[in-house]
Amino acid sequence: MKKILIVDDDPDVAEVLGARLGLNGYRVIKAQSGKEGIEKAKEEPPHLIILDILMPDIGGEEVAEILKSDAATKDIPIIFLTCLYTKRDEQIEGHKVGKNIFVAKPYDTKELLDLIRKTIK
Amino acid sequence: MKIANRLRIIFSVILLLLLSSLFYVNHYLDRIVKDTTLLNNANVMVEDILQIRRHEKNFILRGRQEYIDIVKQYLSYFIYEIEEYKKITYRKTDLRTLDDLTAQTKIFHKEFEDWSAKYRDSDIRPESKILILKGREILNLCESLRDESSASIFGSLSNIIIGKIIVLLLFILISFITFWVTSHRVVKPIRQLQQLCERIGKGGVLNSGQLRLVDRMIKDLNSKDEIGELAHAYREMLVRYNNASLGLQHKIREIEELYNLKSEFTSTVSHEMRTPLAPIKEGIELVLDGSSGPINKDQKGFLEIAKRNLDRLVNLINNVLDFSKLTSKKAELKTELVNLNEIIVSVADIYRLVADRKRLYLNTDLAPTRGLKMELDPDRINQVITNLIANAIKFTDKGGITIKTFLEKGASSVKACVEDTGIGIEEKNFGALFKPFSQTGDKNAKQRGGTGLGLAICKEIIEQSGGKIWIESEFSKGSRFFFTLPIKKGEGV
Repeated sequence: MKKILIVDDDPDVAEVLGARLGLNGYRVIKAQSGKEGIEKAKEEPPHLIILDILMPDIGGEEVAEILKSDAATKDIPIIFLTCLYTKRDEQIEGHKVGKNIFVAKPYDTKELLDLIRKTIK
Repeated sequence: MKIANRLRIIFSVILLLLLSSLFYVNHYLDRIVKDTTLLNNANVMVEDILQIRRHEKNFILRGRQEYIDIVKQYLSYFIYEIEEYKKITYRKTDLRTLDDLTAQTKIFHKEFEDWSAKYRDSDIRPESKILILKGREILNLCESLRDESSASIFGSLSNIIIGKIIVLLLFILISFITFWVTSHRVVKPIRQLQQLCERIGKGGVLNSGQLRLVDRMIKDLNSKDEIGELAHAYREMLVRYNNASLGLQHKIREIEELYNLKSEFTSTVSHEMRTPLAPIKEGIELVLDGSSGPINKDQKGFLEIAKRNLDRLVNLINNVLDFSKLTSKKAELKTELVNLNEIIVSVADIYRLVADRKRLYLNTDLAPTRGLKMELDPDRINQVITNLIANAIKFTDKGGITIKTFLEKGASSVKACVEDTGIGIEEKNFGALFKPFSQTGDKNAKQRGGTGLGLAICKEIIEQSGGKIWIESEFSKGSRFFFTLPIKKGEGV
């Protein structure tokens, strides 16, 4: 069973997204802050991290940087799930911006599941 | 001093000079006339003396009585002429010479009388020499008179000539001074003012340093005449203009700030609103698709209404965000060289499926623009065409949609048209159509959904791309949305 770590300071998002991913056969680990996210990623490296960007302690982009600098976690793929990115940006630029994958909030469930499936494979 | 007064003084001085030079010339002309008369007189006198001497000699040589009579006659002429000369002459030296002449002549006359009386008695030859000598002295005096008259004529003439030259020089000098004064006092300040005006015309609002410069220039003008008044009036105007402009600039800045604040606020609010939408949506979907247990038909129906409206809300927020991005200064079109027809075809291909579902046709009738690359933002233009086609499909129930492009040879823009056979729009609503949140009041239209921002976004994009967008429509007979996009130089077919 593939493990997915959801890092989001909004517990509701983690809750419903976690439920959706659980229904689709993934094991979900949740973290409510950047710091907790890093800890959990190191403690039990997941197959994928879904990362919010705007968080009160450590921002998602910084979290990603810290994880990439650690040999144990540097190969874990990350999907940024953020309201900074809009549906229109998706239309224009696609999900990939540079090396990172972005998904706009609110997300389209089917699209997000497709993307996760493709990323973990 | 006022310019008018200054000019008056200059003209008076010139007039005075002209008059005085006239008097001057007149005076010397008068003297020339007098001198000419005196010269004639002196000539006659010289002639008389020569006659006297000739006849005296004749008398001495021939000793005949009639010569004495002739000498006497000429002597009386001579004396008369001396008196005449005295009357005319104005020179003091002349008078002295004439007094001498009279005295000498009287002596000569007396001696001649004596001598001629003696002659009858005896031989007079040895004494005659003396007489002739005396006659020569008189002659010398006469000649000096003559010389003086002719010299005086020449002097007067040269005086006139010199006077004229002096007058001429004076005129030149006065002209020069007038020119200098005028140019310095009138033209120069005017020119300075003009330069000032030009500078201000170019520069717009003046800062305090420039205003000080203006003050200094006006002070430098240092003129209390009309130019000075003009300069002061101009300064007054300038200060008012400046204050008005500054006020205006300030207001513009305030408005810009407000506008940016609004955009920023809209953008922030939209972002913040989207965050809670994600779990709401996912929550509804988790229940709705039965993955968290079965639900009955009514529950499903209500949740579907909730989901549909949630989608609408998401759509609306996305559009608000998009519109505020477009109208804020931050958004810039990312232009590249693209072919408009290609964009239209790609959008039409996607929407043909949607049209099919409503049993509508979707045709394209495009002008041959192969190879015409225009500098456009392809995504934004795609957005415009998508909006227009989606709208056309939304408001059409029968018939279909045709997309056309028009390209005239040598035209500076490409024109495109999305034509439908739908419900159409009343002309009174044309104006509001492209404004945000202005779907026509028609209930029918409301039912068809939409955010009311689509056309406002289209207008913003087209205008930022340098084109125009407008509508032609007749109620219940379909609509035609036109837009143009500019062809820049060197983008020919």
